[in-house]
Amino acid sequence: MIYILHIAILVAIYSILAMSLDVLVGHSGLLSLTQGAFFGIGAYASAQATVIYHLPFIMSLMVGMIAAWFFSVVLALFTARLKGDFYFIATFAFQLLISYAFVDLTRITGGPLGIVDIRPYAFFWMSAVSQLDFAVMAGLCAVIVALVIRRITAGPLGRALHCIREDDVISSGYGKNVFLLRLRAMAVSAVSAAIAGVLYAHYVTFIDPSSFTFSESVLVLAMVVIGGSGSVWGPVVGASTLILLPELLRFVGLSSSTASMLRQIMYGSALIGLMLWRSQGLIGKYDFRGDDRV
Amino acid sequence: MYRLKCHSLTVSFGGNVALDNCAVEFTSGSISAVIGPNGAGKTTLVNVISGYVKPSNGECEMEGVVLSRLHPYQIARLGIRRTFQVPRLVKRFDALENLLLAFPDQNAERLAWALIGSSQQEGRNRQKALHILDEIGIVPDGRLVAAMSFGEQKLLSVGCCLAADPQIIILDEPFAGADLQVRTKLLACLRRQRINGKTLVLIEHDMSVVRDISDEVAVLSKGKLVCQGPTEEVMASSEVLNVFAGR
Amino acid sequence: MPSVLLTGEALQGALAQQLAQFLANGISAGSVYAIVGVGFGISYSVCKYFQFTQAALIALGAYMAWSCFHLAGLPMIVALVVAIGFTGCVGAGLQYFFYNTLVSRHSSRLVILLASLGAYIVLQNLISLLFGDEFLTLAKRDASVPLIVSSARITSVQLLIFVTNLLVCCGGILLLKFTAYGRFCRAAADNGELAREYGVPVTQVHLGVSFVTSCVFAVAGILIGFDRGMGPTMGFDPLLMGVAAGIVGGIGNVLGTVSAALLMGLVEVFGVWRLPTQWQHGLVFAIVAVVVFLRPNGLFVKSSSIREL
Repeated sequence: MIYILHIAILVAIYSILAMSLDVLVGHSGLLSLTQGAFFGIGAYASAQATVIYHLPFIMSLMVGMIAAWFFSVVLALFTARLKGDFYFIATFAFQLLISYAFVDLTRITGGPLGIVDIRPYAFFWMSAVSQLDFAVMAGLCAVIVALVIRRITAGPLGRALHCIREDDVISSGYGKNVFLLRLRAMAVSAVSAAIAGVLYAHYVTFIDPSSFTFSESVLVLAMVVIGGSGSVWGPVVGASTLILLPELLRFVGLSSSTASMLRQIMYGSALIGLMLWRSQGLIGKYDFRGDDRV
Repeated sequence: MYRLKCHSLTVSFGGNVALDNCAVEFTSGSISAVIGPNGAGKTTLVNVISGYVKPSNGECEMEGVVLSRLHPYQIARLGIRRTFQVPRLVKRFDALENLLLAFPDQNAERLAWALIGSSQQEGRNRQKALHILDEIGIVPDGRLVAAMSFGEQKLLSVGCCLAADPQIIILDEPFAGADLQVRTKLLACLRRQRINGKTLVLIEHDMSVVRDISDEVAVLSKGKLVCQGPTEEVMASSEVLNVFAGR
Repeated sequence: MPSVLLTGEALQGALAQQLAQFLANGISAGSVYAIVGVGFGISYSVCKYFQFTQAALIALGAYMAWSCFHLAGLPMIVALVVAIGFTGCVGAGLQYFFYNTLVSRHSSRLVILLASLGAYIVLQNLISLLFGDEFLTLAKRDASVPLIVSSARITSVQLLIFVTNLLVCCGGILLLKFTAYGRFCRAAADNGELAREYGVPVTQVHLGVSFVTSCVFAVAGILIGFDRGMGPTMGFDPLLMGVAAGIVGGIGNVLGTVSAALLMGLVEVFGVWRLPTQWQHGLVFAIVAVVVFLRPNGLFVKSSSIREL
């Protein structure tokens, strides 16, 4: 039972991450490797709020979200003139920069040792938090994020994002401010990823830089690509698949480092296979193939 | 009464001078044709007006607002819409979807609205889109743009211009590659817009269309304005004949 | 920095020595980025899509050399040649079997990018599986002999890096400008379809370019293996730096890329020298970010007046 709840919480957290990336990749056409970084920014900011300032959980959540929003604006400003491949590389660089920051800025992040003992204070009306409580909380967050993202992407903002995804020249011609639209997509994506980060930090109760690296970003990207993009269910399917499958590897009895390497090889192969044969993923609405031929 | 005025426009790409001290005026409630041989600078002129190319000298001005300092989306919001020689449409959407992209809705595109706003505008836009499709004669049957003929795509891109009810509509060779049906629909549509007081600018090579529908003609050659005036006068003038004979 | 009172002259001497040292280290670091940047630039300007697998090729070159030298016991020179040739073949093979397949299915650049990311992950983890994650060094012992050049201590490895950089750079320019093959490359880079119609053997050109650039990446990996050591993810940072150098200096512009790379190397060493540890990594990224923001077409390219079309 504990194990099942544990898996459920992880699926919830990673579903949020995958949905957040889909806003960028699926709806806005901005392939991005930043989710690991924003995941970490949310985690670290809220961990600080909880451990050092003893803020109630809700406020720690807000702190994490605001920190992510701030960094997303900075990133948007710097990448304003970049497109396609180069935007992707810039997000790659941003992810690396933030990873280094997590390790280097010891006074804020605790360096390579991270932050420990992150127990949520004042978790609404509860004094003690059980795993079941947390599972409900995580599930609720996932549902709320899904509803918000669905509302955004099904409405005029979503349509505008689809426009810049397809052709940003014509988007300007239709009077759309491409920069502001990108900024909004990046902000939504970053804040959602941070929510996942806050949940993660307060569930696992300790964080260190190794959970928020480039590999994490790739994992989330794989979830979106494998599950399929363009709806809220695709990322959820992708997240579930990539969390449940490796659990099966546990039962094969490999050393953990070998297992993680094999897992990575699985992700990589899955990416390749999908790009070759089913570029819209398992249940995706948006085919990555697009019009931009080589 | 002029609507749009450009003067002293100079643009060069690499070593080539595309526009050389070009000056031109367009008035409201009229259809003006811009003609000239290939390489005369017609499309560059449109690019400058719509903001995609910045002139090294000179400026475009509309009702007191200087356009050359603005970003293309700002110029579009002022009420200037244009088409491209090769229609830029989303090939994997259908006609209705493409049209809906073209409606301006700045408020609804804000994040705050997305969370708490309501969607009456959506319904109105849809009605208007269907009306425009009816007006230009495209049936909203869900066919993807990729499956449409070139002429139909051109027609649709004109329709996308109309979505925002712009004051100035610039069409880059809208009749090229159009069959008789498309041609008829387009002519009717343009006449209707003129009655509504819009300023229409057509870049055209097809002289019969120019004679048929335009009130004024501006002739460009080698980046300069050769002459501009009422259609009959210009078409009969010897300068124009010289331009096309390559002298 | 030891805070010792020095006389005016001694102070000047110490500063000059530090400056010379700083220059030497910076140029050495930048040279590696330059080599990667040139390889990337030529490859990208011909095929127009990003190949993540190039980072794996850097590691492959180093690991192949290590295997030949430490496991098979081949003499160093032979090991290096074998490693470079092998990596070149692997790179060309990837181009032919992997990338060409994707292109023939009319894949978009996004799809190819994602697939290449997948391929990189597979290759890097294969290396991890085969060789383990530990940090290895290419040379048997500290084979670098310190030389003193105008009061800076340079290791022979650094000198080797610099010389190799010059060779690669000059070789690249010579090849592109003065040979028929170079002309084919530039034609294919400019407009592949048109080049094909003019009789340029575009597919062969792609393969040739892949082979040569893969060899260049192997060389970079080997140099890093000598200078700093190797690990399975070693190709990562250098590729990113090489790409950054390419963006700043102009992709395909050999001199521009090399200049940008050297600048980046100097900035990085300056960071190590002068800034508290916290900001070292960030400095290079920050400066590249500023440059990209101000001049997205590169420092050495005249900014065009066309906005988006």
